[in-house]
Amino acid sequence: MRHKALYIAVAFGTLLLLAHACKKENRNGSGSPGPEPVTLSLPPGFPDPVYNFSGNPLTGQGIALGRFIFYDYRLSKDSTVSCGFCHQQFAAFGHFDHALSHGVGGKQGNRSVPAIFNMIWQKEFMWDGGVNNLEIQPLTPLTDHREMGVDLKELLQKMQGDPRYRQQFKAAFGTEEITSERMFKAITQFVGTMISGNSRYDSIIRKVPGAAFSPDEQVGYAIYQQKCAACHKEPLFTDLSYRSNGLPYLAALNDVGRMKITGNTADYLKFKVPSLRNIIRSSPYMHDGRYLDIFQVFDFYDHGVKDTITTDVLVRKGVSLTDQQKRQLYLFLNTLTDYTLINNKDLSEVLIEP
Amino acid sequence: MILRIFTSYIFRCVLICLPILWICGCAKNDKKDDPPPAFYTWMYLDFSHEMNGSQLVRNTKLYTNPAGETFRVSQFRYYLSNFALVDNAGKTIPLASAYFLVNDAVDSTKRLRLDSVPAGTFTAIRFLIGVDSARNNSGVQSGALAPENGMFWTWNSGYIMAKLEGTSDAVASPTHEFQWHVGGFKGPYNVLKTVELPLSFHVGAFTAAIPRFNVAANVDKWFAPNTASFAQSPIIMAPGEAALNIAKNYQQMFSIKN
Repeated sequence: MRHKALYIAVAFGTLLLLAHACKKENRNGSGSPGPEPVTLSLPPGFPDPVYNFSGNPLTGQGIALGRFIFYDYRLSKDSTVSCGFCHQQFAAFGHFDHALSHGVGGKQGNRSVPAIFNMIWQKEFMWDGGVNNLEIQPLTPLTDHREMGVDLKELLQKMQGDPRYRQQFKAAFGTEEITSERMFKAITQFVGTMISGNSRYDSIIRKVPGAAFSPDEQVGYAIYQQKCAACHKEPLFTDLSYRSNGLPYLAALNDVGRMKITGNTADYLKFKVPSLRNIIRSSPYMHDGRYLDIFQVFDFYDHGVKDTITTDVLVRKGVSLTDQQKRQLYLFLNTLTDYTLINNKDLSEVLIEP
Repeated sequence: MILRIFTSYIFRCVLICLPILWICGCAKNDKKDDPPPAFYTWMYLDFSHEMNGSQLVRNTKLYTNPAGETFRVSQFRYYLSNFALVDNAGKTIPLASAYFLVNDAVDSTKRLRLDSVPAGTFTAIRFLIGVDSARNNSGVQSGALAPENGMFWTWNSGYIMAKLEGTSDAVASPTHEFQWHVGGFKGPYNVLKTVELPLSFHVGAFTAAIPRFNVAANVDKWFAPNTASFAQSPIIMAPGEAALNIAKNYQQMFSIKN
């Protein structure tokens, strides 16, 4: 009898031991609370994204951390500018009213701030395509002395010293350790959620009941299809290629465009074709922001194109537009404004106390 | 009474069964379809940096290059990766994937531990000077490849494979600084160079010793056979002809010393 009791006790003890020995294998299993997975809803009709989050699982905590970093002006050299300083939500994450980017110490760059949305469909970044992966794109503005001007090592130390960052990194990645890899992955998660595919145009294309172009917008759409769509291709409204549109070279900026990246003279004055989505909200226009008004852009294509050896054949002779066509095109481009992007509360600035 | 429990038949049974149960309970976690790896050991490569046959001295020592330019070295750093061994049958066996940033200023970076060395008789070691194109393309990296190490071009994505910096009176700028950042992994300006160094060692099931080799990197090799002059190119900071010429030179800088 006594032996039987002992046997049961020892067997039970063995089971406990087994459970304990194997527990560490399951530490990251579904039982324990961790970052909550998030699935992006992609606009219908869009191609498969280039960046697919397989190596950077999208989570609520990761996105929240990326958003905090994006709006943290303290990360710049003199605590003045954040990513969101130049990438303003109401301007479709471009910089309203600023022809050229500017950063710490009042320094000015030599290109305009690109509107950043639908970045997960881009294979290369910046006006010249010099950056080859979304994750490392923020390296440039963070470290450029004309933008945020920080030393990455110092930045990581600064973040590690802030309990709010330690807590948020733990929530997103499991431990308080702050590494550049985690930081860039978090920013990528937040920027990846800036998706624009829900404008009035999209509703009309998807045949949402009640959605329709006005007669002028309809004509504008036809003008777009005939004269713009070859480069500003649907549904992203860019074919993501690099082209010279014949914009006259400015000696003061001396920007050779993609040739700087490839070293190939055939790429002289070529820049990435920007998307026309949210175009009316994201002025100024061109890689150097030289046009503040979209009608200046129409005028340029109508009679300002400079025919050089690299000017794209599609615009070499200009793109003729009558005043009425310009008006109709303008009305169509308005239908590309996506209010669910520029009013999305999940993307708005977070207030960060010093 | 208590002592009798320890000598009891049941206790002895349990004592024997415990480890068996424990192994069975966790065995499923260790199960893999691949055959068990036949790796026996690891090996060390100890790097030393030389200039014209004697140890490189940064900042203070004045050197002269074949173009007759005097100079001092302030920084000397390079990436090594994609290590593999060549065995006596001529077969190349890749070692565990690892990326090393060797920095003359940090002694701990000059000892490289290469894992998953299999059994065999080896006649050469192969490696890449730089970071393979896959890692130049696949987003943010960590460890030796982390961007804060200052070996990554932000404006034109890609690693600086090797870096030599210093001052030379041949440079006309006020600081007389030269900065040679050799990088580029695409097309005609791909600077990735593979090195193969002959060596000889055997690893068997009962080998106890860990193979260890001393490798010298001779900085003077950067200047020949392709002419590399500070006056002509004080600053190299982009992929191109100048970077490629230097990479072709430094491909010859390594040698095994024991």
